[in-house]
Amino acid sequence: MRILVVDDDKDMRLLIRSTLTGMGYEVLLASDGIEALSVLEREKIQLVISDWLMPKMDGLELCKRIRSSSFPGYVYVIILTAKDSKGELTTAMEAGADDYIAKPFDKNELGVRILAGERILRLEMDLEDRNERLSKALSLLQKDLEAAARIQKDLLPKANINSCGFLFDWIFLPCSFVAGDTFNYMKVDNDHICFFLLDVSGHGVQAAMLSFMLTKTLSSLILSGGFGAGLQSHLLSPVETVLELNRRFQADDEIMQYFTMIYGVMNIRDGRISLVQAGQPSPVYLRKGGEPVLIGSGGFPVGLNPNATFEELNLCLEPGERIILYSDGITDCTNQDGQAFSTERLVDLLQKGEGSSLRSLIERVEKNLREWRGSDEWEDDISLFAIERSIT
Amino acid sequence: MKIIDEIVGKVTVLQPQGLLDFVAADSLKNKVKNCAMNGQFNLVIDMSKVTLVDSSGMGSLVACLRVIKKEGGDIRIYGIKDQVRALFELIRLHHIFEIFDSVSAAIESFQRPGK
Repeated sequence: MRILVVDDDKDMRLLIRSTLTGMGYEVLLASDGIEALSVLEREKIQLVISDWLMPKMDGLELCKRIRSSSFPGYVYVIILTAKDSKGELTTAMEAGADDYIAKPFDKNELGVRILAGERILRLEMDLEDRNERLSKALSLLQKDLEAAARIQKDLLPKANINSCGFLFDWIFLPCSFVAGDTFNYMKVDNDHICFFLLDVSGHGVQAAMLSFMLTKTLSSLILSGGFGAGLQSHLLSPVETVLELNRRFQADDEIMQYFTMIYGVMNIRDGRISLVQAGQPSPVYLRKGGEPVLIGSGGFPVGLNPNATFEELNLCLEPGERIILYSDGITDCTNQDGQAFSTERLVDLLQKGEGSSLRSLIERVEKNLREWRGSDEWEDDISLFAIERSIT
Repeated sequence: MKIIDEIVGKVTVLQPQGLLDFVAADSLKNKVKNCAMNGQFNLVIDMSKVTLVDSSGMGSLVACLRVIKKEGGDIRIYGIKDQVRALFELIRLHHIFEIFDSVSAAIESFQRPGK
């Protein structure tokens, strides 16, 4: 270990140096605080033994300067002093000294005090080492999560896309990197588009893993049902599909992870939609020139109840009409006063957007929600999926 | 989460307090598992001091019910606030749990014949 000895008395400097060298330490010398600081800036010093009273800059001022500087490691400071009153010692400690030795000093005592300093420095180094490993691990995790978030976003449909005479658009704002919410649509045969929005209980990675898996399972379920033997359409009904998911994804008693969803099948020729509301908030049906309608009043979530039954709801999307699916992250989103955004506010906003394009409606909802929240941090995943039947 | 418990005859009343969320979900589950281990299978959960329940909290209530039903017991619920009730109804938990307007009615329900 390298020790810097600071004393204006040359004899004292040399005496301490020879004592410390005898103990096996490497010693550097300075004759006052200013000189000491310039050594500290040049050299890597871990421990300073400084006299209190010195010309130019005394030991206390040196202590203060050391504490306010940003030397790479901690510098342990022992003050050497002829003063031995309690008050003086408190002053030294307050200035940032770690320990003190009264002059004239005993060789053994000096040795023990330095050993105590070494112990503290070792602890400090261990801590620094651990911190570094932690922050490396954290940054790796962060990169992983960012990558997962990108993959999750890539799985979503393209925003503001026109397909088979329908417009699809959405909002997706995960509350941590990845979300338990997801949604999509799929053309399954010449006549039908299936669509869904689901919300896995909880959020973060655990929820996102299930939501990834569900997207995959749902796609294969839809596609295998859609093109059965002889390319004949064997499209599963919404109730059959959700029952099948409920059979496959019963929550484990320990983890108790389940999900809520809207799953619908839409006939692209006439706009007829049949859907199942499995514990998901009621979709908003925006009719032309009429009041908005909340479709359904609830239903069992998927995975909570092995004996759950599901009900089919029907509506017909006329040209220019819209249906909006959303997660409770929107309606439950609280402002600074803890007040929820609410279904009423969402429906009102959607209704007011009747004359505007789907894109500008979506933008307005997102803008309102951000203003309501007053921050970019969400308590729950936010998702909204909108379908509009184009006017042909 | 703080959960107060009180034994009234053959019924144990649990009163969770505050936010029933992801963190609190485990406390409630553990509490109910303890009850089951002590042979307390008739439970009333008093929700009057629960301000908010999130999806994980809802999951934990159902998990608790599963634990108790395996032992032949039941969980009855009392005192849900409006906001929580709306969520209960949305996900049809009122079809799984019997919900009562007073704690005494919930306790007495265990004395009904056939229950």
